[in-house]
Amino acid sequence: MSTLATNPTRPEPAPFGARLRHRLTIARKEPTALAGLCMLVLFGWLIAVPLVSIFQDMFTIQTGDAARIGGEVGDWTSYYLSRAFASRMSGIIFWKPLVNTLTVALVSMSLALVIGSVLSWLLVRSDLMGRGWLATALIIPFMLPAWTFALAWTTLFKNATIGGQPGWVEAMGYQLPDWVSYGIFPTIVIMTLNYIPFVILLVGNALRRLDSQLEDAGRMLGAGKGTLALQIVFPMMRPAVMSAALLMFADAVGEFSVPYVLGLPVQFETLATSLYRAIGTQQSGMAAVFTGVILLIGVVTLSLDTWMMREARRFAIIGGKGSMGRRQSLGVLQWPAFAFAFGLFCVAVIVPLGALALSTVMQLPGRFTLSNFTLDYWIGRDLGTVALRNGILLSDEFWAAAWNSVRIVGTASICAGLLGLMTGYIVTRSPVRWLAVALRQITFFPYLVPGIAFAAAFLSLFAVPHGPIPALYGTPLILLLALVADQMPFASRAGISAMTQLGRDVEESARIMGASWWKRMMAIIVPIQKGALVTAMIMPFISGIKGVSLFIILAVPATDVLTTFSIRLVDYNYTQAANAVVLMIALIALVGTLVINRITGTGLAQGLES
Amino acid sequence: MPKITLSHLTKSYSPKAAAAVDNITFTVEDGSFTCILGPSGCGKSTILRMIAGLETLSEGEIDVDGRVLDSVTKGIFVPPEKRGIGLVFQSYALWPHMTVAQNIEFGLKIQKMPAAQRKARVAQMVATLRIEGLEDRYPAQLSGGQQQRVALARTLAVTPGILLLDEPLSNLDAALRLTMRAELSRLHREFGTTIVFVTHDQWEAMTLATHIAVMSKGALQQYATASQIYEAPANRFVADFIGNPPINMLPAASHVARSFARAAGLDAPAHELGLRPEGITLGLSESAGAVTAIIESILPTGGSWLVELTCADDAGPIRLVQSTQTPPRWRVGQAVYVSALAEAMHLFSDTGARIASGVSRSHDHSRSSAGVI
Repeated sequence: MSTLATNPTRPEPAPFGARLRHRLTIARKEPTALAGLCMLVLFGWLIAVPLVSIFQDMFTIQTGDAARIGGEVGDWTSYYLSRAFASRMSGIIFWKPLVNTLTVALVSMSLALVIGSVLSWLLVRSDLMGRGWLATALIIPFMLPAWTFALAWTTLFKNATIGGQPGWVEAMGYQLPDWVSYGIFPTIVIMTLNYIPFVILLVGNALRRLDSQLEDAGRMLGAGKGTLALQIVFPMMRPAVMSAALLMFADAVGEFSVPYVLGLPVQFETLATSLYRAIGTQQSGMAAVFTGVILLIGVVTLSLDTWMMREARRFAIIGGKGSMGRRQSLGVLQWPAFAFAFGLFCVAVIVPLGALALSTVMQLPGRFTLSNFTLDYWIGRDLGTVALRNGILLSDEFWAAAWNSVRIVGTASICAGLLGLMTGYIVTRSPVRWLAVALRQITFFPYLVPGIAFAAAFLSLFAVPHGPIPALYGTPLILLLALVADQMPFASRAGISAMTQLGRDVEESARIMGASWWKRMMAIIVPIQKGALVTAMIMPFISGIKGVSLFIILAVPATDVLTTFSIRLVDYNYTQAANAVVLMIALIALVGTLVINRITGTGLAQGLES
Repeated sequence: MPKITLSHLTKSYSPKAAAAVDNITFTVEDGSFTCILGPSGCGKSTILRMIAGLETLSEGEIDVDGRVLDSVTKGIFVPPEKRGIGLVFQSYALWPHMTVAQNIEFGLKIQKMPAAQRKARVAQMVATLRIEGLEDRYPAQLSGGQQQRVALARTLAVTPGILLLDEPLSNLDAALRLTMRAELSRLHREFGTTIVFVTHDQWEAMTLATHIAVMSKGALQQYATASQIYEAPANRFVADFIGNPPINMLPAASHVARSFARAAGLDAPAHELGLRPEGITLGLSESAGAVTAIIESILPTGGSWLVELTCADDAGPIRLVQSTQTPPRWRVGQAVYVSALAEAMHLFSDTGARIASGVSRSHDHSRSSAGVI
C-alpha cells in the first residue's frame, strides 16, 4: 500500500448554500457564540441603552417642563442645552460648577502628581529609612472611600456657619473662616491626599521597571545628572505620569461625595453635585445635560489614557527583564525626607482615621477629658436624641443598612464576577471575532463613565416602564443592575486576563472525552478559575460597599445601604453615628483589599494599568 | 476497527492567506500506526485537530468507517464530544484541579459507567501505564513522563477506536523518549487501536510509524510506508527532509553528477541528483564512475563519522557529505576517489518531482520505483 499525492484533483468549491448549512450546523453544536450574543444583548441593555437614553433626555421635553418650554412632553427641544450653556442663569447653573469641577480636578491632580512623584522616587530609588512599611502605609488612603476624609475634615474643622456640633478646632476656641471649613480648599486638600497613593502606585511601578543600566549607559557617554533626568528618565516616565494624571482627572471630574459633604454649606457646586441637585428637584432634562458633560470629559480623558498606554507599550519593550535598580543615598537629606513621608502618612491616614475614631467615642468634640468619653454611640441605649436612640451597633437601622449593603452589593458582585468570567471566556474563545471585540469594549465602557453619570442614566431609563420591563425605581433590582453594569470593567478584565492564561487544550481535552459545553463549564473552567472568580467578585464588592454615587441617586429609604445611611446621618448632623458607620465601611474596604492582595498575590498597581 | 478517510481536506483562515491545509486526500488504514510528518507550521497539527473535530473544515470531508464526521458539501458536522476519538495533546492538557485518578475517571463518568466498574478500570489503566502510586497526586506534582502516561491513560480508559497523538514525545528527554516509544509500540499492539500521530521529528516517525504522510506548506508530499519514504522519496522535499545528515543535492549537469549517474545507469535528463551520505564510498584506487575529491573535515558523531569533501567541477567546487560507520583512515587535505552506490541516488526534475532512482546491482530484485505512481 502506498500512494503518492503530488497533484490530486481539486474538486469544485462547495456551493454557498452548502457552506452556510455547514456553518449553521457547527454553530448549533458550539454554544459559545450564542452565549456571547446573549451577553452582548444583556450588556447592550445594561450599559449602552441607559447612556443613549440620557442623550435622548437632553433633547426632548421632560415631564413637568411642557408648559414652560411650550410643547408636548417628548417633543424635540434645545431648551436644556441653551438653558445650561447660554441663558441668563447658565453662569450659576452650569459655568460656575464647570469651573469649580475643573479647578478642583486640575489642582488636586497636579499637587498629587508632584507630591506622589517625589514619594515614588523616595520609596523606589532612594535608601529612605522605613521605606518597606511606608510603601504600604502610604497606599492606605486608596483603599478608603474618599468621603471618609471629608467627614474627618468636618469633624476637625467645622465652624459655626452651620448648626450642629462644632469641629474640634472651634471647640478648642479658635475661630475658623468658612474657606478653611468648607468649599474648594478642603475639597482640593482631600482629593489630593486621596490621589497621592494613585501616583505612588503607577509612577512607582514605572520607576521600578526603569532599568538603571539605561541611566548608566547615559552616564558612560558623559551625560550629567540634569541631562540624564531630562533626556532619559523623564521621557521614559512620561507615559506613567500622564496615565496617572489622566486617571486622576477623570475620577475627580465625577467625584461626588467630597464636594457634597464639604461644599453644601457654602453653595460650592461641582458638576456632580449639580447633577445630584437636578435629579433631586426632578429636572431630568438638566440632569441629562450635566451627565452628558461629565461623560464627555470622562470619555475624552480616558481615550487619551488608552492612547497613552499604547504609546507606553512601545517603550516597555526596550526596558527588558534584566533591569537593575540601584538606590541613591540620601545623605543629610535622610531625615527631612523621612519627615516628609512620615508627615504625609500622619496627615493622610493617622489624623483623619484617628479623628473619626475618637469622635465616635466623645460626646462633645475636641474636649479631651475622661468624662467626655463614652461608648454610647457604638453600644449605648436610650440616648437623648430624636432618632437613632441606640448606639450604632445596637440600632436596627444600622444592621438593616448593613444587611442591605451586603445583600445588594454581594449579589451584584457575584453576578459581576460570573459575568466577568463568562465575558473572559467568550472574548478568548469566541469563534466570531467581532463578538469578542464588541463584548470586550462594551464591558469596559462603564469605566469611562463616572458613577454619578451612570446612575443618572440608569434612573432616566428604568424609572418608567419600557415595554415588558416594569419601572424599577425603588426596588433593589435597579441598584443591583446598576452595580453589575458599573463593576463590569473590573470583573471582565479579571475574567479576560484569567482566561487568556488558561490554554484552550484543557477544555478541548474534556470535549474530546465527551463532555458537553455545560459540563465543561462546571467541571473544568469554573473550578480552575476559582481564584480569578473570587477576585472578580471581591473587587466589585469592595468598590460597591464604599461607593456613594450610584446609591445616592438610585437608593430609596427601603433600599438604604451603609453609604446612604451615613450620608443621611451627616445631613441630620448625627456626627458621631455617621463617623462610626463610615469607619465600619472603611474597615470592610480595607480588610477586603488586603484579602484580595493576599489571594491574588498581585499588587494594586496591576489592577490600575490597562 | 476504524479506517479514516480524508478527502480534499482544506482549511483556510482567511480568503487572502494561503490555505493552512490544502486539498489533502489520504486514507488511514484500520489498525495502522500512521504518522503525519513535516516541519513546524506545515499544517500537520491542524489535520489532527480536524479529525478530532476541534477545527472545522473549509472544504472537503472526513469519514470514519463510512460515518461522515465533517463535510462541507453535505452540511454535516459531528462535534468532538460526539466523535468518540481519543486525542493526547502535546501539552498533555491534564486538568490541574483533579488528581491523577480523577483525570482518568472523568471520561468514564461522562460515559455514565457505574462507580465500581470505574474504579476497576482506573486501576487497570494505572497498571497498564505503570503509574501505580500516583493516583492521588495532582498533575503539578508529576514529571513530564508521568504526565504523559496519565494523559494516555485518561484517553485510553474510554477505549477509543482511534487515538490521535500530537507530538507525543517532544516534551520528553532523550532517555524517556526511548522508553515511551517502546511503550507506545506496546500499546498499539495491545489495544489494536488505529493511531495517528503528528511529529516534526523524522526519527520518531521512522521508528514508530507503519505509514508516514509527509507534509509541507499545507500540502501532502507523499503518503507511503516508512521504508518507501526513505528509499523512494516522491520529490525533492521528501528526499531532503528525510535522512540525517540530509541528502547531498548536486546539479545534474555537473561533471561529478553525470559521472555518478552514468556509472549507476541513470541516463534520464534531470535537474538535480540526490545522493544519500551513507551511499558514498571513498578509496585510494580509481574505479568506474569515481571522481576525485579533497577531504575537508572529519567529524566524529559517536559511533559514526561525517566526512566533508569537495570535488572540483567546471561550475565551481561541489561539496559532499559522507556518513560512515567505519572509522575513516583519511587525513584532512588528502585527495581520494569518491564513488556512489546506485541505490543511494535519485534524479529530480526542475519541479522537484523524482524522475528515477538508481538500482542496486549487488542484489537482484528491483525496487526502484516500487509503489510510485
